[in-house]
Amino acid sequence: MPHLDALHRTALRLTRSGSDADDLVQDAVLKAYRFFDHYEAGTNFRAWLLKVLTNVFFSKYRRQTLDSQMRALGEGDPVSDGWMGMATMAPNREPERLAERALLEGAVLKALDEVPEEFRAVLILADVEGLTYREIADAVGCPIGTVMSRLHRARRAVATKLGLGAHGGEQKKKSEGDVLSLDAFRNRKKEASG
Amino acid sequence: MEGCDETRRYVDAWVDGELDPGAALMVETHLARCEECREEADAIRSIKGALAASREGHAAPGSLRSRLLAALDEEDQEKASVEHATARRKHATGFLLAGAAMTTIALATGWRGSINGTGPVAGAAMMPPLLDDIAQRHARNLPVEVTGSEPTQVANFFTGRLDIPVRPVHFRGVPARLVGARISNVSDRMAAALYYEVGGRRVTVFVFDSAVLPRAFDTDGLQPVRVNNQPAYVGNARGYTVVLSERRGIAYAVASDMPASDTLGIVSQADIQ
Repeated sequence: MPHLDALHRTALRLTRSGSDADDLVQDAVLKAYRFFDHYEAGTNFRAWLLKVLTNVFFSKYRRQTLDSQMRALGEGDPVSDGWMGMATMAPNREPERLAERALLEGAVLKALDEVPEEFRAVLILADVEGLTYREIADAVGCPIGTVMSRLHRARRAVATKLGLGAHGGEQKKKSEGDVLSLDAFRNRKKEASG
Repeated sequence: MEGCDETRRYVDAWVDGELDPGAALMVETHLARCEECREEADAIRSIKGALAASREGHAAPGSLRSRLLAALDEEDQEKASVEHATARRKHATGFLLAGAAMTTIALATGWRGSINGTGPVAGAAMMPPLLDDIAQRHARNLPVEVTGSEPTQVANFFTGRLDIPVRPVHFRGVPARLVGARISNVSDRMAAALYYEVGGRRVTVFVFDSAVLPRAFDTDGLQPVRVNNQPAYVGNARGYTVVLSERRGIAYAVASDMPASDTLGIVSQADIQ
C-alpha cells in the first residue's frame, strides 16, 4: 500500500526513531480507521491520513514545546533574515551528477532531523509529501500564513545546518572566500569527520 | 536591494507554486534583477528537490504491515461488540478501498513477507514473562510422562489430568516425529507439553488455557503475524523462538531452537484435531 510507505516515511522523519515510528503509524492507522466517517470523500486521502498522523504525533509524541522550538531557531524576523550564496549547490543545475545528488539528499535529511518538530512537520508535509499549503494548514491546524512562515524558517534552518548561509543581516556581505559550493561543503564535511 | 524583504516573504510560496499570478509576477520581476534573492530561491529549490527525492525507495517494514493487520483485527473485534455487523462491514470496506487495501496486501504477503529477513523482534529488556517461561520450559527438556508417536494416543493421556481439552497436533508435510509428552505449567497454569523432533531439532508444543495469553495490545516483544490466515504472535526468548496462537479458547505455544521463519513454517503445517 503506497500510503503506508508515506505514513511510515513521515513518522520516521517526525519521531527520528524506528520503534516510535512504528507505534505512531499504528496509532494513526487505528485512529483513521475509527474516524473514517470524518474523511470527506473525493478529497486527498493521503493528505487526510497524514493529517491524522501529524495530530497523533503532536498529541502523543511531542517532545518540545513551541516556545522552546522558537528559541532553538533563534529570535528575529524570520522573513528578513539574510541568506548567503547558496546558489552554487551544483546538483540542482546538473541533475545528471547522481552521486552529488545523493550526497546532498543525505545531508539535507540529516539537517531536517535537527529542525524543531513544529517546523519539521511543515517542511516534511510540503517538500517530502508534496501537500499544498491548504492541506498543510488543515493538517497542523494553523492558518496558511503560519504555514508559510514556518516553512520559510524550516528551510532556512536546513540551509544553516548545511552551512549554506542564512546568517544574520550583519554578515550579509559576501567575500570571495565565502563562496559556497558543494566542493566547499564536502571539504568542510571531510574536515569535520576527519 | 529594494524589495528584498517583500520578495523573501513570498519566495517560498513562489517556489512552491502557491502564489497567484499577480504576486508571482512581482517576485519574478525582483528575482530578475536581484542575485541574492535568486540564490535564495535556488537554495529553496535545492532543498525541496533533495527532500522530494528522498521519497524514492522508502518502503514501510513488512513487520509493520502484519502488526497493523493484527491491530485492525483487534479493533474489529472490539467494534463487533458495540456495532451492527453490517454497518461495520461497510465501514471496513470503505476504509480499505480508500486506503488502497492495506490489509489485503498484508494478507497476500502473509507471514512470509512479514518475517523475511527481519527475524523476531523481541529484545531481552522487553521480554514478557510468559515468553520467558515457555522458552525456559522448552530448554529444560524434562523427562516425558508418556511416550508414543501417535498424537491421538498421547493426547488421551491428558484426559482427566488437565482442566482443558488436549487435542492431538499433527504436522503435515514436515518430517515431524512426536517423542512424548508430560504435564507442565505455563504461567502457573497446568499445561500439556508435547515434545516433537523436526529434522533432528526439538520442538515443544505447549497447550494451555488461553486466559494466560497476553492481550493483543499488550504484547511487548511479540510480533503479530498471520499463519494460515489466523493471528499469531512470534517472539524470541533465551535464544528460542516462541509462536503463540489460540484456537477455540485453547492457547498453543510452539517453542523451538530454530529461527522464526522456520518455526512459523512448521506452525503453518500444524493440524489441530
